[in-house]
Amino acid sequence: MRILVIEDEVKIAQFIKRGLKEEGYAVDVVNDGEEGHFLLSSNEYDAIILDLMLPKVDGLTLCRTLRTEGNQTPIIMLTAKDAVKDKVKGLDSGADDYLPKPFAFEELLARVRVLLRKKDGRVQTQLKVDDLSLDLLTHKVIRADREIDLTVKEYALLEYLMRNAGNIVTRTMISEHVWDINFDTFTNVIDVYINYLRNKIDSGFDNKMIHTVRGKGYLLKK
Amino acid sequence: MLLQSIRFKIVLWHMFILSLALFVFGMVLYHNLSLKISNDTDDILRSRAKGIEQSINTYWEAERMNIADGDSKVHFTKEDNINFIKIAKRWVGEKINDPDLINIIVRIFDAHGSPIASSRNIPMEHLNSHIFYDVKKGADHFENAYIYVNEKSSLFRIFTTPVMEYKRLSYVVQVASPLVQLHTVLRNLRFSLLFLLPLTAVLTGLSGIFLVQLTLRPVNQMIETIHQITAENLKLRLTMPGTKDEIESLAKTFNEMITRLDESFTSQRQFMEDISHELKTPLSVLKGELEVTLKRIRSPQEYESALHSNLEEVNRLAGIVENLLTLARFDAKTTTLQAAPLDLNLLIKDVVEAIQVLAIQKEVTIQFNRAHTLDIIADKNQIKRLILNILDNAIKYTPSGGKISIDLSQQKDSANIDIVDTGIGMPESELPYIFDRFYRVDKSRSSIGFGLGLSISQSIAMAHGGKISARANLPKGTVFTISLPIKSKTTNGS
Repeated sequence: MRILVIEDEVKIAQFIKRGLKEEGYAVDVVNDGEEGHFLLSSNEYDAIILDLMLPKVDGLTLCRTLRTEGNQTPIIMLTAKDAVKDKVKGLDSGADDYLPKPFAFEELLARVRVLLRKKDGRVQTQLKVDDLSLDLLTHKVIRADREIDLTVKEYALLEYLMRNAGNIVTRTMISEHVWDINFDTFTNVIDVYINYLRNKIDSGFDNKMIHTVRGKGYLLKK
Repeated sequence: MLLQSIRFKIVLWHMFILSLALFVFGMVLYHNLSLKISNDTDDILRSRAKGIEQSINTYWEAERMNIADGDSKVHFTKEDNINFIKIAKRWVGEKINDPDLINIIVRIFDAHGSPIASSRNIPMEHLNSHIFYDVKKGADHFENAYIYVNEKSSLFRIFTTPVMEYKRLSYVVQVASPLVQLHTVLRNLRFSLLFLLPLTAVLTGLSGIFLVQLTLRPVNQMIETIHQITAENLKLRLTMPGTKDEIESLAKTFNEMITRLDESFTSQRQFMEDISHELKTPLSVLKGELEVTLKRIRSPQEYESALHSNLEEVNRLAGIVENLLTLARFDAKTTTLQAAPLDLNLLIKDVVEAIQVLAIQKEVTIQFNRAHTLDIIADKNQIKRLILNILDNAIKYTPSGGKISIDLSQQKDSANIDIVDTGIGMPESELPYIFDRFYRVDKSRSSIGFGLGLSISQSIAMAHGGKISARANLPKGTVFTISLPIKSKTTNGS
């Protein structure tokens, strides 16, 4: 899941990025509204964390612009303003959620999960394909009652594959949702991680779940 | 409430003053009228008596001729003259219906006070001795007394006058006018005064209540509205009564006051919002960084860097709180200035040296054009802080390669410090506000905020009796002018 953080207070942006990355999200950070708008028009994100007071284009304006343009990416607004009228203004401009600063990081994580869940149209906190299950809260991955230990990146990749179980996901899709803006398209990092995952998920099972679709991408199915 | 209302008080005073005025007016009127009426009566009686005397005398002269049979030498006195008594009786009998004598009783007495004739059915009585006493001496006499007329006693004004002949009392004329009518007039007047005046006062009072109520109705409406005005509801305004009087002017003044209060509350609220925003940013960083760091076991290096970053934020918070306190002390005028002679050349040189590190980091050159010896009386630490704040601000907003120059000069009895930068500059329209607390040139940009530095600088300048102003340095940059009196009038204590 790839998240764009638009926040001009460098240190706040940094810890949000770090915390989200450690949860397995791919995170891009920009410091002003204009750059944020540019990234959003050229990349696909699963969620946006948007500060209100931003240089060049402020958060409210950016939010309205995105919604007018038809961009439906879930948005959480972050701001030091916590008056009811500010919240109403923020939500009415098209934001999905509103979190006043200072916030508890766990709450931000939970709210991000809610938005991603809503985006999928699902409410469960567990992804399940056949005997493979992934807990979105505890990050526990279990196949046939056996707990599988994954790195953060492997977890993020598996989560993305499982969310799209039964459908082919291209390398570009993977790079856009699992890796951040600094991903180098010319490396074979994705193939390497797919291999890691195969070793952990499929080895020792007759039923191989991760398939390569030649010339297209990968597929996770029963 | 009712008894203390303006309405009640006005009406009560109004009635009291009116009653008093009417009472005095009534008393004077009554007194003057009764005096005038009795004087008039007396004048009439006097002139009637004179007329009667002349008429009787003429009558007598004519009759005397007849009695004397044309002999003018025959000499009669009227005194004790049987003929005169007859004449007088006849005169009275003839003249009784004279229009002039209607309502007037005429009595004639002889020189001894014995009755000769009377015009009405009055008991023939001897002239009262005390009257006769006066008359005998040749003096007129007035008195009020009861007389039986037609066997009915009533009060009369009685005038008695002697008629002299050859310096001897020859006879006495007494005329009397009934006082009944006069008394009726006065009684009517008394009745009017005693009954109509209080009635008038009461009626005036009632209409006064009505009028005052009419006048004060806008006031009651104002009170209603004012009741609804609270600190949260300062947008409410009184409706102008449109009466163009003191009440309208009161409403106008009140509205103006509410507007001022509203502005002051709004700026206060804005200030609170700004403070909370300013405090929340470092708090958010602290909280977020700590939470993220504590989510798992970290390496010592990671902990160290997190702690360093936290320390920075704590320092930032401490700085904001310190600045707020400084401003609060200036506002409350509890800052004591340690005023002493101060060499401005030396001080600015020190400040420039201290801030040089920042300037070199940003590749900004600072040039100081010193003045001839320029000493002022001021608080060294505060002035240092003032100049430091302005310089720090200038460096912050001057891009690399820029230049800042400081010019110190003396103008009459004030020292002027011009700090000129080639920074990003500010729109002319924003310049008057940059000394406001937490003022931001660009509302959406959190990076261009002056925080409290400029506000504190201004407070310091003002505490020394000086001022600080900013103007655009065309084509680019800003000029800050700090002007300090050489002999500082320290408004903040010592």
